[in-house]
Amino acid sequence: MRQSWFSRVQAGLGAVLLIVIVLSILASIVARAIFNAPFSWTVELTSILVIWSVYATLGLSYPERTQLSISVLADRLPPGGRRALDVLADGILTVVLLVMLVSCWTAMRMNYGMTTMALDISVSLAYYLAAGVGALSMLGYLVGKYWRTRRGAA
Amino acid sequence: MSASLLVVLVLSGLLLMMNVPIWAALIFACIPYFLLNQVPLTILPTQMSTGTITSFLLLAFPLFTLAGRLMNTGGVTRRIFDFAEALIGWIPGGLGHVNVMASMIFAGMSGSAVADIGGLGVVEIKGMREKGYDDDFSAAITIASSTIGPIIPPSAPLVLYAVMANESVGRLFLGGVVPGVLMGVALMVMVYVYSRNKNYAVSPRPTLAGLWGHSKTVLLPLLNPVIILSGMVGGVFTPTEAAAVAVAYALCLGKFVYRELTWRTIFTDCKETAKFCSTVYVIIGAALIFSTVLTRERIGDLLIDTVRSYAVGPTALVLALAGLILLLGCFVEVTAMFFLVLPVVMPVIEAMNISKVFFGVVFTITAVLGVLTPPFGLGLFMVTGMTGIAFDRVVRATLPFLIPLIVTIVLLIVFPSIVTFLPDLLMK
Repeated sequence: MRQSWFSRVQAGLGAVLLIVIVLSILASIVARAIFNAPFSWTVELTSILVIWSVYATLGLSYPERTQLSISVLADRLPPGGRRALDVLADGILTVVLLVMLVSCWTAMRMNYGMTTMALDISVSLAYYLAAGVGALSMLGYLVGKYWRTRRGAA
Repeated sequence: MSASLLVVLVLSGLLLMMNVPIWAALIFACIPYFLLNQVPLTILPTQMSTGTITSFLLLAFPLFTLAGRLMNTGGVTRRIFDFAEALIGWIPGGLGHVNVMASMIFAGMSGSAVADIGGLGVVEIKGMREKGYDDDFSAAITIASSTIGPIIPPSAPLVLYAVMANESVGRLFLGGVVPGVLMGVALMVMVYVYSRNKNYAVSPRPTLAGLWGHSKTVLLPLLNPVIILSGMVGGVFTPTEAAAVAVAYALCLGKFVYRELTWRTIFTDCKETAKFCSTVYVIIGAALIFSTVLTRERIGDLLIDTVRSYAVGPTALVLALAGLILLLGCFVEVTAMFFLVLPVVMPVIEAMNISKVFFGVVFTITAVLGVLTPPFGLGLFMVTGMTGIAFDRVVRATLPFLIPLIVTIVLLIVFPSIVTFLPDLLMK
């Protein structure tokens, strides 16, 4: 499947963040073992980066159909039944993503003044924004799919 | 049990059966509970993006996954297979034994059954076909031996268990060594029995010089588990740091020693790892939300009372749970099982004073058997695609190989010290 530039950016960002995580952990081992000067920020930085890596790539699991699910029933249904289950699953996913978006926004507003201990970054920007961005990107793919289907039908 | 909890359980069960993504099904089922019990919905982003999900320990999961992927694409598999063939290819059963031995060695680099089938499996099946082994046997032993991957350290599933059960990764890794070897031995016995009357080709007995030649090519990959375990047991680095070291080691081997990795393939491996881990992480977050409901409703206490009222002993309890996990494994993906089952059973395991290391290893082996149990074993589908033989035929050929693996599990349950003696010896 040919990927859009946006999908490539998302996957690339996830990969780059993973690479930075590995490098910062290795740097912290060297700093501790060789220079006896451990970094105080590695754990916090990697925890922020992993959350951003997760939510940067989360949306891609929708078009690539890589989300883990139990397909016992769906695999035994005729094509029409399977399509109906797909629509139902999309409906459930939409509700969850919308609730996530609203609650992320609420959490961001509530915690904006709170900062992380080592890096002194707003907790909202470090963590909650990532989850919101992830939910938004998946919602974008979901809406895009139905938009294209509707345009195709018209 | 409250009515709102009943709604959560019924709704989550229904949605999971209806092919709704696991993370979305769990969260959707919990939303009515939170609304009815006036729990703020900010619990969703809190559990999904802060707290346990950001733990430094859990970071070992994506890093070990990445290290396994780099080992796979870095040209290690072919060398491992050749070394195993030189070492034990002369025993009756020939490449069947080689297949098992290669998986045991690769388990020390990878840590996932799927990586074993997708990487080493291709080499194994090709090699067995070239030597005239029938497809059924080649497919079956490739799938069965892949289950050793997540048991011999390093192991990505054992990291997930460590986070869910709050247990030491080092102790779990050490606990997996002997059971992993035992699984290999059990499968080799099965290969020997199976191939007695088949006249499969065997390799000539190796000369010492030939064996040394092959050993040299796998010496560096073989050091990987040694570095990881000695570093963790010796307190040099934490499990997550060990995983980062494993990534760097795999990259150096593939890029500078074997020269089979390019910067492009390395970046592709990183992208695929990031995408895979995002699907796992959101399930972890959703499972944490689901666990909040279970904890609020004191489901653990309820289960403990039930188990105690039936006066079930630890051995019988773990046997029953293993049976249940094996059954669930026919329908539920291996990784997902960790997050669906562990939040429910861990309070009972703790209350019954069952070693969490012992249970973790037994749980992981049993859950991993899901790759070879029909109708949804991922390994069955992968090998069907690789060999081109019918799915039903792969299933029929593979099922007998469940026997030695189940016998191993029963042995571990009856004699828990097989799992616990090594961690008890090396990590007080």
